[in-house]
Amino acid sequence: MSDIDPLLITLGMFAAMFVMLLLGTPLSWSLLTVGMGFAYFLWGSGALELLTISAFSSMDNFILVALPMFIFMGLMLERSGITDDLFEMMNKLMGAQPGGLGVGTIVLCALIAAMAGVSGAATVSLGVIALPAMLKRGYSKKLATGTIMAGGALGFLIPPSVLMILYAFLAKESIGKLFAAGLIPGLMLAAIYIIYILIVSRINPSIAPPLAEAERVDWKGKLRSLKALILPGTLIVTVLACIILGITTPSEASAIGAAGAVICAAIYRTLTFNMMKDVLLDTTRIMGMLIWITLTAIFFSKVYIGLGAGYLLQDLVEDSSLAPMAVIVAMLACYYVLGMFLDDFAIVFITVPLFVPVVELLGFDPVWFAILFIVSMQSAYLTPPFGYNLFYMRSVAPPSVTIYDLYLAAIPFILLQILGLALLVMFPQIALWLPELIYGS
Amino acid sequence: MLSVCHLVSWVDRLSETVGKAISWMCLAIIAVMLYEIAARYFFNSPTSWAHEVTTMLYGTFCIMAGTYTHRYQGHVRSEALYHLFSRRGKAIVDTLTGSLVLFVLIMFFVASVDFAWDSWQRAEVSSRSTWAPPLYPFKTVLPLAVGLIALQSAAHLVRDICVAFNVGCDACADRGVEAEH
Amino acid sequence: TTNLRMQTYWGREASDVFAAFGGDVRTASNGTLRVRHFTGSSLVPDAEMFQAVSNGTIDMCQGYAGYWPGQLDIAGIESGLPGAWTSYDEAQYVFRHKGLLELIREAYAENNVHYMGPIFGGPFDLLTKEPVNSLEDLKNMRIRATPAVARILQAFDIPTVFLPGSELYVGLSTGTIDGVIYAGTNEYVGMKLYEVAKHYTSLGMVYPGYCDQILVNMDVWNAMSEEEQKVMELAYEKHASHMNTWMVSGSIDAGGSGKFEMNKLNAEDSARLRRAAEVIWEDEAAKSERNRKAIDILKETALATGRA
Ligand code: NA
Ligand code: NA
Repeated sequence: MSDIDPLLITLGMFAAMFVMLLLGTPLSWSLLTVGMGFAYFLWGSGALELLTISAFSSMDNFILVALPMFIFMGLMLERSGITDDLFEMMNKLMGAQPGGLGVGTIVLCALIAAMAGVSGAATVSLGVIALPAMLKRGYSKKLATGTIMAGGALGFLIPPSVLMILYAFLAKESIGKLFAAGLIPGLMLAAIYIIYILIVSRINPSIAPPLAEAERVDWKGKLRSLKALILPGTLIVTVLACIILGITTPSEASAIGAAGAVICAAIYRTLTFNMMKDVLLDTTRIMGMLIWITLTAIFFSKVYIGLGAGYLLQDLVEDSSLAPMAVIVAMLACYYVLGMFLDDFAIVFITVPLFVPVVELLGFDPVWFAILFIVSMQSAYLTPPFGYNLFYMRSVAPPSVTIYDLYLAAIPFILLQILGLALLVMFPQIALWLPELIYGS
Repeated sequence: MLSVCHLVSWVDRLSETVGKAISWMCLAIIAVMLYEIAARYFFNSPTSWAHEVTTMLYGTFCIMAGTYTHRYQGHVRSEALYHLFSRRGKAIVDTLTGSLVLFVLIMFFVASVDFAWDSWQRAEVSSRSTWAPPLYPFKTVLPLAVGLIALQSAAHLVRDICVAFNVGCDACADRGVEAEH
Repeated sequence: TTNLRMQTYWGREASDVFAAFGGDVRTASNGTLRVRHFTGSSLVPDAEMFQAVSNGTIDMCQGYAGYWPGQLDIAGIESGLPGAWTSYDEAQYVFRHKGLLELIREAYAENNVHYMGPIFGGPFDLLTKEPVNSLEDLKNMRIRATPAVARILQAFDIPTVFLPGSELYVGLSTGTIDGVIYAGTNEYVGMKLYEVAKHYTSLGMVYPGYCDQILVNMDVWNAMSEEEQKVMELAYEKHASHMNTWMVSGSIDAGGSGKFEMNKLNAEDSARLRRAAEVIWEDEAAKSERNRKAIDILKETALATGRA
């Protein structure tokens, strides 16, 4: 075992990672190659075993079974046509207000977030459905794309959430607790976006005009449109109740959700053999990416910790006279910086083993910190240069929308996310109230 | 040159077939878990095997899925600088990093063969439930998956070399669709 | 100097005990041996520590053989079979006087691992949401138990369920499970389980309820000088006693903290449990010649102490 300065190891490993990423090497291969290089030269051949053990531990885990299930569920619902129906409903309900379509889009994002485990689903499907509708009605490019990108990121905060499952797996936390803790902050963030949209559309109605008179419907039409909520609503409540109330394990609840999604698609008459094949193949493709990032990032972080560098942070915190809250703020700042360059899964695997012990050492609630982390990752989806929702939006938006429009569109929403984060830091009860209510404290 | 091209497209088809075959395991996972829930709640007799069967199905599915993802260049990368390169520039950079990655994957493959072989020799069984199924078949999935990934990496590398040195043919030109996340 | 990476399955709560062990090794070896301690799962999953030591991924570990009966024949016996011993002294008698320690050392040596010796833990009993006075009371409860214990419970038609450790709190609070047999009061306090299930029932199956060990990679062990090996042995002996005191004291403190309703299974049911455990003893004995010898030791001890 080497006695090389942990600071040097830290710089070396992260610099090497950065170079490989810049050269366009896929994230998982970068983590694998850098981890292997440092492990082999500073640890010895025993480190190869560390890689196989890390790989097998991400295969041999009952908790992670929920990942493909929730991904499958989200994809199945997306293809079933439920999203179109729901958008039609929002259109009828809110279209008459200035900014109404934007508000409806946020509400729809929150609904999709409660059906899907990942964040891509809402951004892509609403980019296809809601963006053209908003642009056609004269919404400004920036408000329309910003709304969809920020709303789409809610997928990881409002349960079910793949990111929370991974966090729970790494931090040995309960999935049920994290899900319960994420619900209210997710709704709060959605409310913040809605208030913002209503304010800007009040100040300047031309960027978010209401529907033309002819397109509006009366209250009967509005009431009738609500029936689009029945199926997805039932499914959402069933799955969340199973997890949060502990009727089944989270993994089993995810299977119920997946089966429920198939049933929904059948009722919508959109379930075909080809559609099933497509959904299965897409699940395969996403899981293949996810699990290889998982195992290589676990390996990378174990090498980093094993070389003694993991203590760098804990020593730093223990020796320093920083106020505990300052440490939390520093960690969140670190998440924002990492979020500009790295994938959220890479960030969770690299930082959770390092940060969570420190958070516990300082006497903070790890569940609360988990929610702060997830909210920070909301921003990571929007911050350039590496932000998934920027890419998704770019891939579905009309050519008139440039990547720079998207950068500008994201800024107000990033500020709103920081506002939400600040509220959570100041009032932890926003996150902790629900889990404490359900599980006692 | 032609036979190399054949080999490359054969590897592509292999990854494709494997991906399509394992994708159905998702439905098997759902079925097993629903059975377990029913056994527990309606018949008050939880099975001793369901959670381990599910875990093995999941583990096999997800690790093997990497090959299919790789076939379509679906492993996420940062495009910040990369997208500025020309097609040939990309191929040159990929040739350099790709050879390094392939080397590391081969090391990984060797280590994972040892890992599985160890388990066969110990005749290892699971320590998690009263069911105690043998673990070595499940552990053997790891070298299989890593081997397939390494193979697909080699195929991508051959293609990159062809583009980098301008000796491409039709089979090599198909780098796979850039799949979205 | 030799740096030794040592992982344990314990978290930060035991850091002081391991710091003391590391300090002893360093001082007694004049700084030629240095132990770098890693908490549970921080390098390899706790269940893979035996294999990781065997392959030299980590140099040593404090583990619990209950994680690897599928990898090593004698592990089930080593970790503490139901009915195996009833007191600390008896466990010491079995290991050090009757030779179980040598049998275990031989088994680990075949896997390139040096077994330093046992570290006895505290109680390992039942925690439930509702009071339990007899085995009959358990028949309508879903219990989360280790495989060995699950086999015994199944003999009494008590349903057992699998749930990962991190889900126990929510599982108990919401009724996915009605009880756990996972550890002792000390660990139940550490996991805050008393908040959701406060009925603690001593089953009277086995005490010490679990048994840790220290494993060292054989190549690392053989590379040490005779003096260094002696240093390790002395430090281990002190640590084993220190750790045992720490675990047992924690359990007594936790048991008397008012967080639990303490209860005891009636003597007749405890005896029924121990008798049911004999099936497991036979299964273990059938695994290998060595296991047969180990089980014979347990049987002789049970006779000598008047339990059988
Ligand atoms: Na979600
Ligand atoms: Na970003």
